[in-house]
Amino acid sequence: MNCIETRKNIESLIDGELDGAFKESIERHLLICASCCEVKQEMSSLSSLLRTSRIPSPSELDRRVIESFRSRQKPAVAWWRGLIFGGFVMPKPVFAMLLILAVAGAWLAFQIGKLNSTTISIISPSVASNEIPVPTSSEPKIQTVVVEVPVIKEKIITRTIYVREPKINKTEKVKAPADSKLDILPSVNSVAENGYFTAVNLKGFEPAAEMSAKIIKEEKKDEE
Amino acid sequence: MEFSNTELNPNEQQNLVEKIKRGDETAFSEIYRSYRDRVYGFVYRMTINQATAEDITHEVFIFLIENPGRFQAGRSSLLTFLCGVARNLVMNHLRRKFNSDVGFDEFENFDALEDETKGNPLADLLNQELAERIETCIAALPPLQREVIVLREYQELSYEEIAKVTEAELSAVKARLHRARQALAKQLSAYITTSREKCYELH
Repeated sequence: MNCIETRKNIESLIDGELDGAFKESIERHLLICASCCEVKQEMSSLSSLLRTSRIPSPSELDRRVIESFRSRQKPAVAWWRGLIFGGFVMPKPVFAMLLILAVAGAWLAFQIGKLNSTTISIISPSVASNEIPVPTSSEPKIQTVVVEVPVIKEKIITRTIYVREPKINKTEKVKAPADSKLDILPSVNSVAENGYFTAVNLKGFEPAAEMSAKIIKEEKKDEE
Repeated sequence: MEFSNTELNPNEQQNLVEKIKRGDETAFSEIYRSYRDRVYGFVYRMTINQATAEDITHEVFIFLIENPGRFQAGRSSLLTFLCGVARNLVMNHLRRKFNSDVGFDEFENFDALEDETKGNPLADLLNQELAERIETCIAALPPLQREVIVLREYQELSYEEIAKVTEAELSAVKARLHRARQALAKQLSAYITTSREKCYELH
């Protein structure tokens, strides 16, 4: 090992980058060469000198870094919110508003369903539609007839029901108001001369509402 | 919060980074405690400004928080990874400061340094002022030389690790380190003459 080769590798030796036989040969040269040893001492001294330098401690860094970490973490999502929205995190006010709307919608749907699924039973006296036989007997007789009402929302459906009305000769026709709700409105005098009057105005039958009508057979229509 | 400069072993590094991905604050704190001083030290010595060093170190750890997946234990150590991130941020800062890439590699301010310190020779006798002198000498080095000397002398990275951090060839790292040491030895020669004498005493 000569001086040129040694000086080229002195820094690597100081920095711990050499090992094995090559390192040993340089170290042996440094033991016998004062000039190369001087260079090595100079570099070692420089390293020691540089490491005496101290730096000021950071002041706000710790707080800032920890705050940054916390602010970047996603808030925990409740399992039930996770089921509904998946990983999406909804702002609380929006979630509350949607919840209120959902409850209101459910209540409204319940009310409408309740309204539409009402079964109307006309106990007495009643007769419905053309298929229902006209009373012929003077003996009161109860007969139950099921009347199926077509289901068309918001449409007024009129059925004719014959009702015994012995003491009233005159009847009047009453038109069902558009906003009437499931009311049975006696009206129409299409057969007033034989003592019956007709009409039932029904609104809002949905879905598949059924009407039960009981027929009281009293007199024959012809007898009137 | 207690800080240490002890390097975590590769398995620990990988485990802690995996926990950071899941938002584990304890794991993050452990990494922060282990690497804060070394990252901050590197950045401070590159910028010689406390506020800037804090800002850049803050950004380095934010990068780790936001991109834990970028660290791959098999490819480098966590220290090398963090120093690499810090190095990029520092170089961007220095480029903005110089406002041009022209002269970035060649910047050397020793003439101004000598003029600045000539008027106060007694100051060098005090340790604090010696430290300031060293700091100023390092700051006067061109950035590419400064980073290798800081990574070697203060971060104690190997040549290979320095090459990874600076994205340079091993030979370039050695050459820059040599030039930086020559420049510093010249500027600080007054403080290293006694060592030479020791060498001659041995022979």
